[in-house]
Amino acid sequence: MSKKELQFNLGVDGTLVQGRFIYLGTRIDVAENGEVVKSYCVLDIEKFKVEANIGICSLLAKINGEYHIVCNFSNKYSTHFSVFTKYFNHAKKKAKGVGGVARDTASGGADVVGSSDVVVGASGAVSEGIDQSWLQLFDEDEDVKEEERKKDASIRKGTFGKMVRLMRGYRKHVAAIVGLNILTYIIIVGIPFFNTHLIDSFLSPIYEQSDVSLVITNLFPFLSHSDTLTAFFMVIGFMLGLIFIRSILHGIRNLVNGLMGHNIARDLRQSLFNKVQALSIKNFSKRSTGAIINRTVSDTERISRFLTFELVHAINQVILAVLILALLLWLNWVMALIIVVPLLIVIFALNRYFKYMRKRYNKQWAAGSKSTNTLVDILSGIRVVKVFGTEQREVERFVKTSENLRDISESNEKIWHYIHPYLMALVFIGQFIALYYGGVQYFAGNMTIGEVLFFYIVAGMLFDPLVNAANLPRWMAESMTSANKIFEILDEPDYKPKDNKTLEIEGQVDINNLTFGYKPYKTILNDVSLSAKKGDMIGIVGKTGAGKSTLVSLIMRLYTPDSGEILLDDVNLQDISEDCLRAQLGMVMQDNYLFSGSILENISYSKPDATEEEIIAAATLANAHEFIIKLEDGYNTIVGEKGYTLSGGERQRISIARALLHNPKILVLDEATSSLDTETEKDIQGALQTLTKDRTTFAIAHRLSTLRHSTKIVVIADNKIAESGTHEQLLNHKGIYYNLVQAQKEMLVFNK
Amino acid sequence: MESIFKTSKINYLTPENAQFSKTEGGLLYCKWVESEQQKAKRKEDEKKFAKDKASKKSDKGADKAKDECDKPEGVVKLHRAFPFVTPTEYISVFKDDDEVGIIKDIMLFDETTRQLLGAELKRVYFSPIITKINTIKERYGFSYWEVTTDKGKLDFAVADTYRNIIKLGKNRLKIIDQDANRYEISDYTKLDKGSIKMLEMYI
Repeated sequence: MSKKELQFNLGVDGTLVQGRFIYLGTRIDVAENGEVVKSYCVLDIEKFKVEANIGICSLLAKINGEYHIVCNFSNKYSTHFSVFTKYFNHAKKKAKGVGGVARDTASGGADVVGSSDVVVGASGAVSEGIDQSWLQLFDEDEDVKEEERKKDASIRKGTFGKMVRLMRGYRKHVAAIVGLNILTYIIIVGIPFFNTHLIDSFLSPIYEQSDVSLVITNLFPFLSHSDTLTAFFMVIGFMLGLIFIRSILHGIRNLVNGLMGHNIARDLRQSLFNKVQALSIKNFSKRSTGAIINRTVSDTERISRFLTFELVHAINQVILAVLILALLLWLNWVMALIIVVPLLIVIFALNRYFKYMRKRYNKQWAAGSKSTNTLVDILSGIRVVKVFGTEQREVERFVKTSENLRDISESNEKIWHYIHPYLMALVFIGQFIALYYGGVQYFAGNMTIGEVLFFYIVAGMLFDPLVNAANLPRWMAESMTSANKIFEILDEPDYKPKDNKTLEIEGQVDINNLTFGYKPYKTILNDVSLSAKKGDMIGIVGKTGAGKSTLVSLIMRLYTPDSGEILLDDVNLQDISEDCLRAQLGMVMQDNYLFSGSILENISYSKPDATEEEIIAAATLANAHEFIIKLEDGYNTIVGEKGYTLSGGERQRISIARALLHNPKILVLDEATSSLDTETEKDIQGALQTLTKDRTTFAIAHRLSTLRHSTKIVVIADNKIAESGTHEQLLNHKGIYYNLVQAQKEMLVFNK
Repeated sequence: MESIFKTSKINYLTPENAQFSKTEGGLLYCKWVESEQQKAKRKEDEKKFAKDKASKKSDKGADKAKDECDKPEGVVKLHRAFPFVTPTEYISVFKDDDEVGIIKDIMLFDETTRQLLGAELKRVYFSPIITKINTIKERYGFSYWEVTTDKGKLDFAVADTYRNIIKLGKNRLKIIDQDANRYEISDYTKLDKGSIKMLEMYI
C-alpha cells in the first residue's frame, strides 16, 4: 500500500500552514510546512472526530479515552476529513469485531517526510486487523476533483451553446426575423439613396447626375427626369412607399420576435419548474426558496430577452453597421473615415462610461432593494412595533434607507446628465467635419449636394448600430450569468429510484444500520436500527434536535441515507418507484402548509377525484367537519394567503383529514397534534386511532400521553436509539423516557 | 432590572472558582466550583441515577459516563457570547452540551491562564481579518476575491455576493465564502481607497 495523504491549512493557533496528514498504514504523520510535528500509531487511535468550530475545524483522535488535537483546517477541507473519519471509524469498528488485532509497534519518532517509506512494508500486519478497503477513497477523491474541474470547464464553454440551442424549436421564427431584418435594412439604407437622387436630379440648381443618383437611374429608369414633375412625384411616392413598407416589416418582425420570446421563456420556466419538482429535498434545501423563485421568474425572463431581442438585435446591428460602412468606403473612403473615427472614439468613451456606471447602477439597485426590504421588515413586524411603541425609530430607519436611495440615484442621474451632452456633441462633431469636408468638395466640384447630404445622413445612421454592437459583450455576459444559474439546476441529476419497483405495500418496515447527516461532518443519526410490523404504531421521543424528524424524513424518502438501508416489505426503499411510494405513504406534519384555495381543494389534494361524501367523512373523522360547516362558505371557504385565516389547530385538522383521505399504508405523524389544546387533542386522538388502525404508523410527539397506545416507543438520544419498548416497559426501566414522563407530570401539576 | 439579576443565576467563572489547564491532547481542561443550582441538579441526578442503578443490575459503561458527567471538571469548549463586540469578555464555557459558566473577562485571570484561554479561542475561532482587497473578479454569478489578511494572502470565491456580505453594526463586515469560511473587515471605511472602491459595489 502506498502512502496516502490529506492536506490541511491551519496551525494550532490559527496561522496558515502547508499541512499534510499522511497515512502510512501503521502510522499517521502530521507535517506542517514540511516538518513532521506529530506522529501517531494507528492502533492506538480508538477513533477520529471532526470538531466543527467557528470557521475552523479540528481533527481529534481518541487515544486512551482522551481526545488529542491532530490538526486544524478551514471548512474547505472539512469534507475530506469527515469522510476519512467516517470510514476510518467504520473500519476500526469492524476490526474490533474480528478481534485479535495484530499489534505493530511503529516507531513514533519524528522523521522528515519523504524517508517514511520504511514503515510501509510493515503495514501488512495491520491490514489483517483493519479493513483497508476504504483507503481507495483518497484516490477517488482526487479523481472526483479532477472530474469536477473538467466538468466546470465544459459547463462554462457549453453555456452559450446550450442557450442558443433553446432556440432550436423556433427555426422558422428565426429565419423570418432575419429575412425581415435584411429587407428592412435594405430599405433603411435605400431611403438616403433616393434622397440623394431627389436632390441632385430635381432640386439642385445645377442638374447633374452624381454616382448615387446614377445607381438609382440605372435601377429604376422610370425615376429619371424625363418628365421632371411627374418623375419628382414618383420618387417621392416611391420613398413614401418604402417608409410605409419598412414600418410594416418592422411591426411583423417585432410580433414574431415577441411570440418567440414568450415561448422560449415559457419553455424554460416549465422545464425549470419540472426539474425543481423532480429534485430530491436534499438538492432543494441547498437553495433558498427565494433563489429558486428568482431563477424561475427573472432569470428565464433575462435569457429569453437576450435570445429574442438582444442577440438578434445585436447581430442585425452588426450587419447593418458593416453594410453602411462598406457602402461609405465604396463611395468615398476619405469621407467614410472622417465619419467613423470620431464615432469610434465616442463608442470607446461610452463603453468606459457604462463600465463605470454599471457599478453605480448596481449600487442604486442594491439601495433600492434595501429600502424595500426595510419596509417589508417593518410592516411584517408592525405588531411588535406597535406593542413596544417604537414607531418613531422605525420611521427614522426607513427614512434613512430611503434617503440613501435618493442620494445614490441623484448622483447617478447627475453624472449621466453631465456626461451625456458632451458625448452627443462629439458624435455631431464627426458629422460636422463630414459636412465641412463635403462642402469643400462640393465647391471644388468633386461632389454634388445630394452626395454631401447622403454622407451626412448615413453618418447619423451609423451611430446606433455601432453602439449596440459594442454592447453585445456586456449583454452576453449578463445573460450568461442568468443562463449559468438556470443550467446549474437543469443539469442537476434527477433523483431517480435505483430500480423502479412497484409493490403493494403491506406495512413491514425494517431500518438497518441507518446513518445520516445533513452535513458530512455532523452525523444526526448513527447506526440506527428499528423494525415495525404491519399495523404497529412506533412512538418516537427525544429532545429537540435529536433527529426524530430526520428519521421520519428518511422513512418518507425525502433524503437518502448516507449508509444503511430502509426496507419496506423487504424491498429497499431506494428501489421503489416514486408514484408507488407516494401513493402509499402519508404524512401529517407539525407545520402544515395549506395551499391557497378552498378547504375542499386542500382536503382533496391527496385524492383529487374524491367524492363530496368521502371528503365530509374524512373531515368528520378528523374533527374538522364541525368547524368547517359553521363557516359561511362551508367547504368552499377560501383559505391561504388571501382567504380565511385558520388557527393552527384548524389547519392541523384539515391536514389530518387530508391524510385520512389519502389512506396511506404507512403513516408518519410528525408532531401532528402539538398545536392543539388538550381538549381538542383528546377529541382528535380518536380520529388518529382510526387513522392509525391497521397501518404502520410512526408518530413523533412531545406530549407523551399521545403515544401511550404505541406498540413500541423509541427514545432517540445522542444520535442513537437509546431506549425502546412499550410505555409500561420504559416506565419500569426508569430511564430517559421515565424522566420525561415524570417531567411532564410535574408540568401538569404545576399548571394546575 | 434588579429582579432579572436576582432570578437568573448565571454562574460567572472567576480565578476564585475556576482553574484552567491544558490536557495532553492539547484541549482545554477546567475545574470549577459548582454553583448552588448546579449542585442541586447534580444531587438530583445522582439520586435518580442511584435509583436507576438499583433497578438495573449493571451497566458499567453508563455508570462511568454518568460519573464523569457530573464531576465539576473536564474538557471544556469556549464560545463567545458577543464575538464582535467583546471578543475577550463574556465567554461561555461548555462541557459537552451544558454551559458550565461564563467568564466575564479574560483579564480577570492571571497571565498563564489568559494565554491558555487566548490560545483556545484562537483554536476555535478562525475568521481572518481582511486588511486589503487586491482584486474582486466577477464571473457567472460568483465573485473571486484575492485579499490580504492578518493571516496572510488568501483567495476565495463567494456565491451570491450581495447576500454573503453581512453588515455587522455600522462599518464592520462579515464575508462568507462558498465553503462557509468567514472573513471579517473590522471597519471598511478605513481600508485603502482601492479596496473600498471594489467593495462599494456590494454594500
